Amino acid sequence: MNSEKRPELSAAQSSDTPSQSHSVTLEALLRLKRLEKPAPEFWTQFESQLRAKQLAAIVEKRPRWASFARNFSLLIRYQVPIGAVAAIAVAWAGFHGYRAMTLGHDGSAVAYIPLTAPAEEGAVAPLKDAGLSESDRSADVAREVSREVTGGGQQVSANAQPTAANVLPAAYTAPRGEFSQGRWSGYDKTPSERSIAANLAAAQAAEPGFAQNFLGLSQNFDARLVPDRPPVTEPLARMTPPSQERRSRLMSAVLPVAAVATEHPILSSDGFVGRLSDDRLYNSISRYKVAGGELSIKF
Amino acid sequence: MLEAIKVFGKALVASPERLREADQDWNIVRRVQGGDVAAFDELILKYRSRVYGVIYNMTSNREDAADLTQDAFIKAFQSIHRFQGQSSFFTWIYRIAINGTLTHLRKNRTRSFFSLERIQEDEPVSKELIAALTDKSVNSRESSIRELQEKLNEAMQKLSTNHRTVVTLFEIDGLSHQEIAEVMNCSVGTVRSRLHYAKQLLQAELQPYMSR
Repeated sequence: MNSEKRPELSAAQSSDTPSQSHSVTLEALLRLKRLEKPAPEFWTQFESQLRAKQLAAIVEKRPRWASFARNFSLLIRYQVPIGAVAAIAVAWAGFHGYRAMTLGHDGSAVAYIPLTAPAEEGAVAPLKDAGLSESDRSADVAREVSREVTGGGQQVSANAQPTAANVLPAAYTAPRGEFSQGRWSGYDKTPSERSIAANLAAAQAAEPGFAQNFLGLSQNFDARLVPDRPPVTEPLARMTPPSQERRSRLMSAVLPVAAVATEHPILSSDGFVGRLSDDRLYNSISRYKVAGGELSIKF
Repeated sequence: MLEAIKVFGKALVASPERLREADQDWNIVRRVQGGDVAAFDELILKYRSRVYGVIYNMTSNREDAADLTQDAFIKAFQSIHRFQGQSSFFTWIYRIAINGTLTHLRKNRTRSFFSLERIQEDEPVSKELIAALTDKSVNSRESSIRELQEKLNEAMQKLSTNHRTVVTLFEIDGLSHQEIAEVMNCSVGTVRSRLHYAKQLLQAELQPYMSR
């Protein structure tokens, strides 16, 4: 290790007197670091910088959200009126939207008329076969209603009181061949609908034959594009009364036998049945008997 | 009870000079806590050189040491109302300074360059030491001193922060093992083991400059 000494150190040690020879130790080397000190001028600058930092530390730093909170605090005092205005605006917008949905173009209220009223121009009609005539439309309605009644053709009176079950709004029209008018006149057409209608009208005017072959009957175009909607009826109106059910049950049991048994024909005319009240008919039946292909009822 | 034992133990370990110094510092702190802000300047003047020296030897950078020393005193000033006197003000300010320096060294681990102070050769102690360490020739003395200083700082920087702190406080600043344990918040045994390991590393690094 001594051979690795630096020449300077070796020379210094060789020429030293015993009093000047010092062993270089680690502690001595580390003590050298004590001599690393700043100049006196350094402390003047140190004090000025320290004062500046002390003053900066006194000033409280605002968080980033403080500016937002400060601006928002100006609105806090007006929070009640602002909230009230916002609530009123939302309520008005909702009411206005609902009103636009329920009113027509001109703001007039929707008129409801019975479903079975005589067909008139622009009157109520189910959304099917818009190309049919007015009389056909009425007959369809009548047939529709009659099919729902069992037990012998009780027909709905044409002058039946309109109820919620069998009426539709007057705006629920099916204009004949007028696609541009749309299904629900209470709504405004969308721009796309208007453009399509205009293009269709132009095509029909330019090439009526082509339009008829390509698009089919113009009167039925609505029907093809728009599926028919069944007339709205109340569920209760579709149900048969219990008395009718009992009558039909009894008659169905009796009538086939009466058709076979010619000796004792049972009067099954509608008139006779109609004159009998269902209670009387049911109460008068005291005994059933079915034997040998015969049904006997004792009244 | 435990706190009383600690205080009694410190009194046994601490020298009378240290105890006298602690009492003086506590009186000044009470004045500052009472509202005499200007009294804090007395503490700054008293401890700024020592605190700067410790931080400089840990960082080997003058500018960083100045900034960290100022930050340590500002933190102490802001927290002076929480100082209860359980330890001496000297230990307390040292702890603040060293913790701040360790945080700084952790953040700037990749950036490390020397900015060394000049070795004061005017003092009598330094003349003998420099003469022992360097060539007697005047022409090459300055370069020898500079080279030695750089090698010494390089060796110190190769130590970990904890080992460097222990070496700085014990060998350079002259604190006792107990005082170092209080400042670093560890046991005396830990201080001794770190000091021994650090000296071994420095011995290996600075072997060419030492004699047997």
